[in-house]
Amino acid sequence: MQQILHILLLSLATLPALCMASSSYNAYNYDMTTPLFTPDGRLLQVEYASLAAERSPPLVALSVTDREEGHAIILAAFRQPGSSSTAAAASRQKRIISLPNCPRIALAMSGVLSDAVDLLSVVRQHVDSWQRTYGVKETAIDNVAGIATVIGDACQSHAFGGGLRPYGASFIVCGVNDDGNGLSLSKTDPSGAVVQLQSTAEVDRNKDGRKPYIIFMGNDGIQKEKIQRKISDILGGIEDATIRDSVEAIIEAMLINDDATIHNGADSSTSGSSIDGEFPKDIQSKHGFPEIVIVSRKGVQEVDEETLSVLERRIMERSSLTNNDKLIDKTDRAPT
Amino acid sequence: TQHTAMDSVLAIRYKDGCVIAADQTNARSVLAYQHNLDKVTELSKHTAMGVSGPNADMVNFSEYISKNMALYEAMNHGNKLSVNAQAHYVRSVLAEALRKGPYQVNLMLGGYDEKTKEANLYFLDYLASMQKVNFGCQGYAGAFCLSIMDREWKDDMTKEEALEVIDHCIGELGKRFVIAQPNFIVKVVDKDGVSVSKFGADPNDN
Repeated sequence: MQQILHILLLSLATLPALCMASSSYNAYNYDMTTPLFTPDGRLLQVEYASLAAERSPPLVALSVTDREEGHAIILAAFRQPGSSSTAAAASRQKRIISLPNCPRIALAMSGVLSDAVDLLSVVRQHVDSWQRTYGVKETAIDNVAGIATVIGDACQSHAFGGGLRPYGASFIVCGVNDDGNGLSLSKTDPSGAVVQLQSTAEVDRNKDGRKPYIIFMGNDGIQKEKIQRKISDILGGIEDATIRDSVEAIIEAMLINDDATIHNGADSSTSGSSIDGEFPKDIQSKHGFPEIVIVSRKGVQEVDEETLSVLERRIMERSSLTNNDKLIDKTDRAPT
Repeated sequence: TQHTAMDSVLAIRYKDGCVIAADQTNARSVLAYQHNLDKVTELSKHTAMGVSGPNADMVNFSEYISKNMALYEAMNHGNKLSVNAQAHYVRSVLAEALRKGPYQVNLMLGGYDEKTKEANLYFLDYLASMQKVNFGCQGYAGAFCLSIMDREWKDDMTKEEALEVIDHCIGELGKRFVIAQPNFIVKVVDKDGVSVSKFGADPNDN
């Protein structure tokens, strides 16, 4: 008897929710302008903006705990396939940015880059005015969440509408402490939401089982899952992953992902083969190297092309020796 | 409108904190309203400022600053501002108001930074000048007390030594300053926060 009552009460409680979800409508009637709710309470333009923010070549943020350097975050922005001439590379907008007087903070942009650059100017003004008001010479990790909030607020004010479309860009804002013991990682969204993905409270340098933490943005026709899984697999198999291991993992993931027929929006299932074990002869001619930046207690350092090609060559050599075995061999590592 | 008030504010930086003292007289022209005013405001857990000036500006400005400090901490995940940052902020408020409607307040702002384990003291005046100092005075008191502080201050003073110097200064004012200031309130700012060392009259006694 009691059970029946219980079930009845449960169904009564869920009834209102069912009623709300059952309204059907044509999206095109409610997505023409930003300040318009749908019958089931969604803001479609803002949701579309979030989709636009994902339309970028992949962006990987990898947080790792290096035994010597402490916490570090590696940001890697893959390039658009097909355009890799030096001239094109020189004029391309960089996706990973560091700010003046913020020695251990970096921002990575995704989505409509022109929108992202506009948001960057908001950040620069905020950081500059903050430094002047409070007489601070260097902005530190404490303010990573604040920077992300500034971006979020700017995005939100456009999500109100009022004649302007929402920003179609998201950011990853990350920072590391000057002794390598603290890190902060936040992600913004065109809706104005800011998610603090990792912070010092959760990551303890001295704890065992320091697993690398991967955030992935952008899915512009490239097999996001494959790259993400590849990086996890490689680093998961390493006892004590260092910064170097992480950079190599990213390059290796890039190598396996090659596909000459990848274009914007192409469906990954129809786009030729991306077979493990078959490597293109070099990334450089097909895609251009990803922009790889390391944020550690030493500062924000970009990995230069020369180093990247050296690493790539070694990975390719190593992989051609062992097909399915663990691809990173500890004994094979040369000193940094 | 007077910007040179008859208030005395004295402050000394010692090894682990600051001592900030101020007279407790609330007066305008020849009339004394009260002799138990507290002119040293707590800005945050680890900073305080002694303010001199017309009572209206003193109260308005002190409350504005201390509430903004609280707001900053609330909006920034509990991050505290260093003494240096707070002094710069106060100066920026004074500077912005200067050419609109100046705050006629002169301050000694002192505190203790837990991060760097050092005490910091700043002199700010109504024209938005700011200087980091080891000791300082606002008002006519400077004419009598700066020389005492200059002679008796030394690096790595203890709290007791600093309080003793303040006592010398208060004694000198009582003896030689024509305006009688019967009561002084002395506060100490250190890693444990802002505490009252002594007062001539209880500010809460109304």
